[in-house]
Amino acid sequence: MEQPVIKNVLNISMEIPQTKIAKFWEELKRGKLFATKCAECGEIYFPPKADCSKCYSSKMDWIELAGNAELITWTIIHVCPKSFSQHSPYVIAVAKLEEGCSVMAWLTNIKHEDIKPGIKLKLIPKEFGYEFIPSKPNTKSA
Amino acid sequence: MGQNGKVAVVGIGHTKFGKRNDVTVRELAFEAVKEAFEDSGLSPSDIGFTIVANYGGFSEDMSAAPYILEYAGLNPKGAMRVEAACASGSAALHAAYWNVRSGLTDLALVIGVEKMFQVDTPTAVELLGRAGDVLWEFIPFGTTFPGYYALIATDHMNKYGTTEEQLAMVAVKNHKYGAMNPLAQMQKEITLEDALKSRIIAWPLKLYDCCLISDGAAAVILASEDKAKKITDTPIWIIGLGSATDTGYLADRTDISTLQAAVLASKQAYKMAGIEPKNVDVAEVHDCFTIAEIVAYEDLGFCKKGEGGKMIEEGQTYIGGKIPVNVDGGLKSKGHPIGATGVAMAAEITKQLRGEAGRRQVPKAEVGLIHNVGAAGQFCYVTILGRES
Repeated sequence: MEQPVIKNVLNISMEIPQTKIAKFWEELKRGKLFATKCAECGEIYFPPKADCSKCYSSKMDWIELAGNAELITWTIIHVCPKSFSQHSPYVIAVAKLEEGCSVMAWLTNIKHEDIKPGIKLKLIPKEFGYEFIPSKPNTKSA
Repeated sequence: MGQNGKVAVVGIGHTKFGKRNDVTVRELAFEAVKEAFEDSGLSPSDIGFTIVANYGGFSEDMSAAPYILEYAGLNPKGAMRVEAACASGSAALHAAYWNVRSGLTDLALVIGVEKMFQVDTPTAVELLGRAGDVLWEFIPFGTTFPGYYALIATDHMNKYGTTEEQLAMVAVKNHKYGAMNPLAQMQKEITLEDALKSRIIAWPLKLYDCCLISDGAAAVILASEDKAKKITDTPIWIIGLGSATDTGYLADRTDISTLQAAVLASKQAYKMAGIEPKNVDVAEVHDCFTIAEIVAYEDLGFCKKGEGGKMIEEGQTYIGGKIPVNVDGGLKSKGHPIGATGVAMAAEITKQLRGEAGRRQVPKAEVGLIHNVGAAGQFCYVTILGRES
């Protein structure tokens, strides 16, 4: 049975400030990945934070990441949000960087059957962010 | 009443969960509120404070509380809306508890409501995904909610050998009980094969590993000790509460296979209630995905870490087992209207402890536990209810 309804559309467009971590985006354009490191307590943040959540210092140094990482966990997204419909399926991975922090990013350039916990990955910059790829392409070793 | 008095649930309302394209948010909330007043014998003028749980975004009202209050004749008493993602309902319940326990009011009303079917499924997936870290997870990588729990599932499988079959067994159990619950969205039993053969949503999670998109509302009325004893012969006492939080950015967690917030929240609640996990007779846990129920068994201390898969395989969470879990169908089969879920869990446990759960009744249930998780463990609220104070 057809129910009577009011049709209502709401399109939201927003601008999210990135001023405090502008350097991250500048370096990304140059093909480099930078993290912040607290000048007071030494905590490393990636994605970068402008303020230290541990010691509340806002004195941050910028350090370049080597990008070496080890896979912790992953999923393959088949049913995706509206805004990602052209990309599906895609692999989302969480891997631990040698600098100590763990990162979520897409894992690309790998066959699904080759994905195993502990495999070595490389975090590489992309135009609008970053992604993981196998550290040795097509590797099957864990 | 007094500041050291106890607090009880004295009225419950719970609409059928499912697709309700015949009602607005306020009309749906009204159904649950009306039932709670009928159940308790109270009326709107008795209520001192109202707390509305609603995630919002799927439906018409950006700030739903005023329109629900007006529609339900609850003005001019004080009110607020609370939001803690999928744990909004328990957040509201806890806030109402503080309100009564503090002595600010004798009677507080909790209303949980969500209408998710007013938008199409991809939009609902998008709005839910946005409960994750929008800046560093959702916008760049399109991490969906099934995606977060799939990351948890993969880690759990790698660490403890949990299997896709064990995940499917949770779905089979919850559908079995959902089929007995007239308020459930999917009153249909499923087989292990149905679950295992269903399409992949976020590997390793399949369609039957995922909870539903739902419309629904629930309401509970909390009373101070003196009031409660006057209102009903079967007050259900809130004997333990705990709440905790965890990182918004999933990768920041030391162990992705556990929800640390649930471990901490349950420890607080057990301590306050003076009980141990083995004293719980019936539990409502946040099975937004099958893996979430398995992790909940472990986080709540129903079994050792890593043995959640074994627990469902042995059937220990069915009625007659060690600890019956989600015998109303859970989020999986009863449905998961975000803001309503935690309130509906409280209504269900109240029914169980009153002995009003019909075919799904857990024999001699005296202590019930509610575990309600917001986002992928960013929030956890645990509430313990008891028939005896």
